[in-house]
Amino acid sequence: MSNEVEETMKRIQSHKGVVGTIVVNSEGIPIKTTLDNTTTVQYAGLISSLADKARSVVRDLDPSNDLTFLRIRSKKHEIMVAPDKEFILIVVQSPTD
Amino acid sequence: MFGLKHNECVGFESRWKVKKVSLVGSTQTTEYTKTDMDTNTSDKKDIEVQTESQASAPTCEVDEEKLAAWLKKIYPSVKKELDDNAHSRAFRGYKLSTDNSDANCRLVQTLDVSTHAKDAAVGCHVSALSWNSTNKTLGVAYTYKHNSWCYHEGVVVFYTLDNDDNLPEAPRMKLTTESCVADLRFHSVLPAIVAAGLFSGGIVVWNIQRDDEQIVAKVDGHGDGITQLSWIADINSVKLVLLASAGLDGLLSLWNFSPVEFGLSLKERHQIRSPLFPKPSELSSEEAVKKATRAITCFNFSVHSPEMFVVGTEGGWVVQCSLLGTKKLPGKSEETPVLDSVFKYHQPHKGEVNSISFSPNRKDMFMTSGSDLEIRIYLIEQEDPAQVIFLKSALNCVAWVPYEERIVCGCGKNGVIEIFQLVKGKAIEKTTRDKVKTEILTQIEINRTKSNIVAVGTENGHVQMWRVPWALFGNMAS
Repeated sequence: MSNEVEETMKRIQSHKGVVGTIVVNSEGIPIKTTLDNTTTVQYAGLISSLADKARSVVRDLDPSNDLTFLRIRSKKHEIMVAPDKEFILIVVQSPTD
Repeated sequence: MFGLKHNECVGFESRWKVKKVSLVGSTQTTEYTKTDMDTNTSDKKDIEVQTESQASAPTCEVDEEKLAAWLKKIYPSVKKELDDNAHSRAFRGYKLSTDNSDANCRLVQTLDVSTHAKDAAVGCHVSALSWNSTNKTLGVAYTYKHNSWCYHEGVVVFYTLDNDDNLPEAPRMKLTTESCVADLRFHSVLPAIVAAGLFSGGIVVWNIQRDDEQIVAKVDGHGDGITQLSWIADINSVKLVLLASAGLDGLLSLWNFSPVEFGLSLKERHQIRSPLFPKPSELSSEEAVKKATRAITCFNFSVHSPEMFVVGTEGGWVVQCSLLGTKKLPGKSEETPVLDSVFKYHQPHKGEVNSISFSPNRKDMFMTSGSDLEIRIYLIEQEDPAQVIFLKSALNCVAWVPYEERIVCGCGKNGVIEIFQLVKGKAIEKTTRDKVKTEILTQIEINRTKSNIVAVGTENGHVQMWRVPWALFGNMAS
């Protein structure tokens, strides 16, 4: 089972420009990561709270709606967040241009 | 009784005195060396060190099965987003308006292509530059200085960008033609097809992917030298691409090019005639106004309306033409009819028209540059130019900047890329802080995929690669 998890993580990591991948549980505790400890803990804490806020915005605007994907583009990277009830997947990608 | 007796003296050795035998000797101490050294007692300080316990990421029990299933489920959508992002052009050239990094054109590479010319001593200049449809290969054509007819062998070299977006020192391919190349254009869709127009009037089409026999088509296009080539969309069919060629004989020819059979066949010819006198009176009928055939110096087809094209001719005429509603010109008895497609005359330049091109951003706007030191912006409906930018020194080539509406660029005698603000009609001062050896620049071609990469050809047979942050210059212009 853990092999499947590792395999999917590797596949995501092998995409063009991907810097790191983190899986976080609903409490914001990182479960799997390809980045170093400090960075992982930072991302996990900050992104979980932002994803929660984004989700509550979407649901407040329309209770029948739900957040599917959150993308944050900065000068250096793009952070993609795929939230779920139990887990959150965070992928950091560097733009190619 | 007393008598005299002489006794002998008797001697005897002393028993308590010892005779010492001694020998004199001397000794000499050996040379000795002396070194002075200071020592100092050092201050000692005691300090204690304790390893900190590492803040380990708090671990928790996780259901691996559930996690694996969830990851499997969302992987396709994540993959799609990642791939879209990698190929997205949405943020291309996008810079924050608060980004204050300085606007500076950087010269990153200079290549000497004239070494490939046979008579390099004669002096050759770059006559044409063209990026191919994938924007990874650059074709460079150069000509020698001509006094009258061209007796030279034309040379074209091709370079492919490496991973760092630089050109290699050696070209990937070098091709020769029977006379100097006046214009070189890569096919708009097929990345290995390139057409060259020669001073002798011939057109050659090559396939540069082939190792041998690169020529796929060769025709005697025009009776006089070719001035410009362009690959255009066929108005009659969606997929087909035609080759348009213009020459000093005043004709604009459209050629069918078949990607399967690889040959050029003439489709139609247009003769661009312009009035003899600058301001034809409105009362004269078309027949009454004498028209002359003048050499076409440049032309451009509109991307938004493929039947519309504009032509710059000798004498400074700026003519707007259309492929629809053409009239057959009388008195021509050729297999392919010669058509008159002139639609409208715009106010002419006072000198030769060096280049003419439609704006990639606005479908009703085109720009011309003339030897009268003017860049003019025309709108389709208006005869008079909407904006005129007066130049201090002549420009050999001007170009629109992709995705930037507020600026246009050009190159010429000043030896640097010159950028002009469209609204104010003025040049931006000091576009580069680099110390550039001043050469007259003849051609400029902006890479269409990565628009900050700009290739510039010089009069000394050099190709310069520049990096230009157009968006920052555009911000300065607003």
